[in-house]
Amino acid sequence: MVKPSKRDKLFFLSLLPLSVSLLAILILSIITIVLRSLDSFQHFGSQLITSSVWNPEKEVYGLLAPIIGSLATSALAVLTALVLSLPLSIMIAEYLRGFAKSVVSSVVELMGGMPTIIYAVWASQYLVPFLKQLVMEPLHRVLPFIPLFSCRPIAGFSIFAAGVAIGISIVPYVTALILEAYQSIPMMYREACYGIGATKYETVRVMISLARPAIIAALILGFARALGETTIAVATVGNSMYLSSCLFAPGYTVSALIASQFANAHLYQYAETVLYSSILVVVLIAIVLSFYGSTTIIKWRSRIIV
Amino acid sequence: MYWKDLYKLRLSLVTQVMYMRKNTVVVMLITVAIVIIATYSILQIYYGGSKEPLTSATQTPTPTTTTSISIQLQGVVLQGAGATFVYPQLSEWAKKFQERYGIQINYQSVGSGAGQSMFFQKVVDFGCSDPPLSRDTWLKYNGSVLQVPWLFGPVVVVYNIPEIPKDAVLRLDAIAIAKIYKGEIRYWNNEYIKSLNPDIAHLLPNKEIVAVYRSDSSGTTELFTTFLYKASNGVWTKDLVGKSVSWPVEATGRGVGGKGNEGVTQNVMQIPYSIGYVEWSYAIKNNLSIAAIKNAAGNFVIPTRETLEEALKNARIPTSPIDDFSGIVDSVIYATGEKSYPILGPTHIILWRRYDDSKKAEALKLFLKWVAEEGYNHIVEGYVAPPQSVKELLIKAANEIMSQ
Repeated sequence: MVKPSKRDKLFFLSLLPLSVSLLAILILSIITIVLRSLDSFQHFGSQLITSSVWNPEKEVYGLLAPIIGSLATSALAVLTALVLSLPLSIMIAEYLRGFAKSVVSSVVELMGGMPTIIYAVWASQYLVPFLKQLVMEPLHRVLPFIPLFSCRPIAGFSIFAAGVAIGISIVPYVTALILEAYQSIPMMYREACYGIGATKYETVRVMISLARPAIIAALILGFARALGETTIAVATVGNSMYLSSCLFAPGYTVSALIASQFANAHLYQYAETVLYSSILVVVLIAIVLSFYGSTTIIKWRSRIIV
Repeated sequence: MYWKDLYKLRLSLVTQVMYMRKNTVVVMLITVAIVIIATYSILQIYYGGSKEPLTSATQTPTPTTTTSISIQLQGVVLQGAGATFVYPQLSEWAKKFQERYGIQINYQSVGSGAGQSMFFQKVVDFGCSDPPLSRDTWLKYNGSVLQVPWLFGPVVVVYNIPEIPKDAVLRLDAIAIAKIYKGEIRYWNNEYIKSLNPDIAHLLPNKEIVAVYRSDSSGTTELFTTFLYKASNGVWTKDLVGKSVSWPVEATGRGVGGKGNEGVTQNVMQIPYSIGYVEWSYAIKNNLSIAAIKNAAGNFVIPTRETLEEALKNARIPTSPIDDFSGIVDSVIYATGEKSYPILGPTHIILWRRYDDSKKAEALKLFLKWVAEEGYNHIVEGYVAPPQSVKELLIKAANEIMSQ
């Protein structure tokens, strides 16, 4: 092997600091979060994640409601995104051609780039009353025995509304991932299906089943993204430390809690460390899921290419 | 032909221009020139001839004693941060002050708590906070900070009940509001609320009350909860008083939090059968229905200039800006007086006694004096001018500020 010249070594060294900086920032921020939250774990112990209360004047904190709220809204968001983006991707991949295809793809990308504050304002003004009147109240009237629908939707702001709103905002992201996966399935499979006389519906079914691991990975990545959604959560979740099995009651998410309380947290003794520990929980879940999702997609891609 | 090849080669802009035909370049230059001239002239029409701080020729004639100071200080920028409550009034004052003296005032409305911390970290030159510095904080900085309660404003209770017509006024007292925010009163047609409102009792619907509160840490919450504690005869306890409290109604699932006065306003406007508390200016601007509250004398009053000035008569304002102001809130809320409005609160400006930058110190002194003499003639809707003793306090504070 040829020994790298001095110039080449210098070039490599010059790239090093800037390229490593991103990784360094990630590691440093995780270390900072862990260090800042140790204090609250020491002082409060397990009480922190088994109760739901936010009382900084008396220094009593319980993060159960926001953590469960974050997980519940993200799960609902993923469900909404699945329902909305899977048909959209199949439509774009199989049925649209030429001009229509480019327009629809551009529009989806455009919506992915829209600032989330626009989604937040639109959701709180139009989506929430719409959901309350046409979805939540009928569901409560018809199926009150299911614990998920058992409380009356008094204000529209609830975990359900936040979940749907966040789901709509992650549809472009999930659609992009699913489309990319769908379009990277080799032509060979489609040709094989048509060759044995399958109808379009049967072909699409086969393609979807081939792409299934990638679709699940896309949903997992969407879940990690929904966990961090802040502006929409603050506007639609109701900001109430109330934990119940009913989806129609107002609740809290970790990101909404931080957005509301962080600015003034230093006024109290333990508020800041408690908020850091809530960030830690969410960041760990998001990192683990993102890692799992990306590696699944990469492994799938290497398996599917013939 | 030219273009396609050039595009594929991706030459730099300069080389591209070099290869273009002469006519194309000329047309491009003319278009760019037209766009620049058009933009400039449009900007001149809309903003021209206005508050240029450096052209003393367009300024109104200033009194001769301050001419030399004001020319020296033109271009100084004062930074402030703090309560959202004072922001509309402060931006009006800043605008008029800049027209007069050319000194710019920037204000970030981040909340009383964040404002106090930014002030103590010396990130900003002055802080604005609804509640005064607590006794412990004041003791820590004793002698080096000045406070003046330069504005008073009421916290109003707003409601959204479609059945009640706009001209009828809902009457509430502290006990009813305390029970609503504790979750004990559940429906609008509760017997106690009906007894307070004999004329409109038949209009009160059988719907659940949604209680809207502040989800962030706020001086408005502190004023509201202090009133409930003082006036509700034991229903609202002392541990539920503060800038950020754990509302008992949250546990019933009928509480919704809004971020900032804006968030609470939005929520009350959107959720039918809700009740909330906001600063007066937000209720006026958004045309919300304001409830009449029972004061210490037993009368139901709505916030007007007279009822607020009556409440201010009893304010126990310290005589020097270096003093401890932590008792002022208590003296102004639920004050005695036939017509006084019970939920009134001060907002304070917090300043250092000593500033390293002499220009900033001079600018601040000028600003305080200007507010005491001129500023109170330009009160924005939703605030009330403080009594004469506060104007004297402002002048005293202006004289106390020194520079190294």
